[in-house]
Amino acid sequence: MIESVFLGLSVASILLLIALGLAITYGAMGIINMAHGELLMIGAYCAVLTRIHLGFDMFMALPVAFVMAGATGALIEVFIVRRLYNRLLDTLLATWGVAIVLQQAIRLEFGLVFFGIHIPGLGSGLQNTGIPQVLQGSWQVAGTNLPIFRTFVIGIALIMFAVTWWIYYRTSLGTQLRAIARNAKMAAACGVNVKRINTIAFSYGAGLAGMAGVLLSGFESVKPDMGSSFVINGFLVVVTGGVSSLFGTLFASGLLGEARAVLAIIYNDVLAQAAVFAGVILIILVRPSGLFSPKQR
Amino acid sequence: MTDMLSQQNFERLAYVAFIAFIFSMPLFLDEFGLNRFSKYLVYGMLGIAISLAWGYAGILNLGQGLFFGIGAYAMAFSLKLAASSTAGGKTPIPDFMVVNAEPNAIPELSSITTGSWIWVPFQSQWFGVAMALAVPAILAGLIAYTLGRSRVSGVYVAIITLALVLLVRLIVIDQQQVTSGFNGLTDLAWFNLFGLELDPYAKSTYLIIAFALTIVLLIARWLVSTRAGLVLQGIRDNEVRARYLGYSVVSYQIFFFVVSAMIAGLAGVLYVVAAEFASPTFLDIAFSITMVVWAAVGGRASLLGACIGAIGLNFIGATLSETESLMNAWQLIIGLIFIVVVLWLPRGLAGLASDLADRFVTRADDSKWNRFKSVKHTQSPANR
Amino acid sequence: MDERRISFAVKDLSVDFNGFKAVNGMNLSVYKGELRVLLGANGAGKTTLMDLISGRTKSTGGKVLLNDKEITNWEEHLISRAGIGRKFQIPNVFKELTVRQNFLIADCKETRVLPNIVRGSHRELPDHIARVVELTELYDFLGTEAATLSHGQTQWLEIGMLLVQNPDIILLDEPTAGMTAHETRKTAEIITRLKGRHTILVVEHDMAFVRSICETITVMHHGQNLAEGTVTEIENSAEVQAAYLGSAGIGHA
Repeated sequence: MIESVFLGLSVASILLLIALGLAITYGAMGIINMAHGELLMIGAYCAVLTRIHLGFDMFMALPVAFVMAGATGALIEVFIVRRLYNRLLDTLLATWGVAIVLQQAIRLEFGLVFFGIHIPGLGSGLQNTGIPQVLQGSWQVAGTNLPIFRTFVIGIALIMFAVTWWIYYRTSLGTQLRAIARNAKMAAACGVNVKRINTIAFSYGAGLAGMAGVLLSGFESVKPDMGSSFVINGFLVVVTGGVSSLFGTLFASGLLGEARAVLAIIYNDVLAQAAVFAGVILIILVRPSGLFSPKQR
Repeated sequence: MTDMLSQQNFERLAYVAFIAFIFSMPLFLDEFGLNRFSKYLVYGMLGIAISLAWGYAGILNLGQGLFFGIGAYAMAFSLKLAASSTAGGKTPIPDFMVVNAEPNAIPELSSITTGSWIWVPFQSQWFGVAMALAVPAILAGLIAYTLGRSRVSGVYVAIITLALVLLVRLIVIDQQQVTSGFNGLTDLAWFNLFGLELDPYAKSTYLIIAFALTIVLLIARWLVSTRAGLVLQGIRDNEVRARYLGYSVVSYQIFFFVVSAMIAGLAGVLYVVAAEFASPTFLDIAFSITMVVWAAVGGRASLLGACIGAIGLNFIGATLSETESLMNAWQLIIGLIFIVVVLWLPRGLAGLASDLADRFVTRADDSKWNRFKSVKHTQSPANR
Repeated sequence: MDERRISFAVKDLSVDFNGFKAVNGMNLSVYKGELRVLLGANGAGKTTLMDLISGRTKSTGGKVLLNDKEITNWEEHLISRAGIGRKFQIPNVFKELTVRQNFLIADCKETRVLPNIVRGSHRELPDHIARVVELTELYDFLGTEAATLSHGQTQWLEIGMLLVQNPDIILLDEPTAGMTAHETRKTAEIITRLKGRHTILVVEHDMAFVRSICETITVMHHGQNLAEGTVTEIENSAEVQAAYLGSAGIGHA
């Protein structure tokens, strides 16, 4: 049982990294980024490519993925999302288009396949990255073996949560971001450079997703469509936790990750996922503002 | 007044041309091509369903595949039984159930596997058809009612419908002793329409599907031209004002959402008739969102536009997708087209066509015409 | 003193937004056919009171009565069907639809879905709508999308839609906000014409406008009924002056 709770925590950690980015972009900007899962995918491919071509291990891949996914996110924000503020559903649709394009770009190796060039690590096949030597093996708590790698994943997620919290509530950037979330026009009138802040926030969320991708590559094979199920799960976490609450996101990812891991033991993985979906749908219907947000006027 | 008439005529002309076009296909295509095209017509029907729910009712349903899938499975249950023989008992037993059965289970539909009793009434193919329409209708009614009650916004509706279709997909895959799981239902019998066996490759089958599409298109067009259709567009535009005029927003949304779901269910039935299989891929999120792409490209607020968008994109896609890398390239193009349409052409090709038509005929005071050009997305309740 | 029948009333009405009581024990009775003006500083609770009466906000205490029937916290569309229409402070019309379509939807004697499918939509505007179109000077704009109307025209469109809707009770939230002097005069004319046939509750700051249309004023303060009386009574009321001390009087609010 401890093992599965622990497993649930590591699943929750990946969810948390994904949901944090979604929570910021949805909460502050009202944007639903359907390409968020593809940013995770890009992070995972960063791990694959840096390992094959540069001999990097996971520790070095993490910052690379953060930067690459973050840069992709910035491009998406500047060229597409920015044009669609106040058209919430349209951002959902346009970013879905972006998601398809990114997936196909990897499958087609950026179009190079048409010229007969093949880049090792890309294409539609499965890729794998190794877990660094130091993270292999396990340690013992109360007679149970807990894998070190999963501990590492949980640790990274918590660190990034703390960093995000600090940025959000303790820096001028975060203050400006929260001001935009409350009232973008007013914030602009008060001298906040709304466009710039939005780009940074979007890009930061994308970077977190990229890191999640690297970590995820330690659990499962890397493939072009690996991200698509995560964006739904990530968004379910955000709405469950309450859009304007970082701690809500933290608890909700814990809740959903654990629910899935524990239910998977009682029934099976498929039904566990189904039960989580059903649960979240109920939560949204009963409390549309999420479990952890205050009642608003 | 003459201007107004010529504008209406333009629209009418487009409808007539489209209907003539689909009925003339048997002149140009062989039986293989005709069978393929009949599937595109089914997609066209899905385009109409999306346009009705999204363009007119303002409900972006990212789970339309749910209704399509239910329709398809209900029909496939019946056609599977019609092609199955008994396994020693009185009722026909689908082959996959025999494989999944407990060693000493009684070989009747009511008992051979856990849950297989659901299949019993499907021995009548008309029961299958009835369920293909009724279940989506009831489900859509419940969804629209609960969502309307809790007044969740458009995005939540999109996410909930998405989660719902994923949920059902997982259940279909998991309960493989009843649904055949991942493999889906294949080796189906032909539909028997009052003695006429609907051979998927026969001209008559194509014509029946084309006829069904025509009827659906005309009914949908008529519905949105009624006063209820006008009120519905008012609701899409401004729910608060509609409520303050005494209209029950939920009732209107339920009605049109249910109609949209039934059209999708019917599309599922026809797809199974033409394609001879049902599969959990119908419940993939990608498929559901792809339907939205068709409608968006054709024009979300134009029933005919969305329908043509679906048929056209599938036709082009199938023509290009002969090899795998080209298929991937086509997917890429679909993604790009979608981005371009959302950013610069929110009214889709139908919007473009009506703008072009506008250059030839001056715009007069008429509401019908404006309806086709009215989805300009400012900040309205339907969007946020 | 009054033999007239009460049209609608609120009794001890309150609403609590996380501890902030925007309306706090409000009492008000408006008689049939009366035109009542609601005054008060920003934040006095006027708009919230209208939200509560019309069902947009759910109250946390007290009652709303319509012809002695309790309608507290009913859904908006049911309250509307019971006979209360409303104009919002920020014009609230169907922006994506044409003026003509706006009027057609406002003609809402039949609100159910199925009868509206059978009915089909009008080719010609019915006479009673055409009269309102004339009155609101929107005849040349029938085919125009409401989003492209000027501010004043949008205000009139909304007032016109109320006239077509023809409810017993009309709630008007700052009907002249953002209007030119000419438009304001015209609006006063329209509102005066409604007096007697409809019961009207108006929130308005423009004292000249108030003098030109009004009999009785109710002053709200801190979510409560502070004073009631004629224009002169209110202007000379010590209580009202005390409440507004320092804000140079209500005339300039």
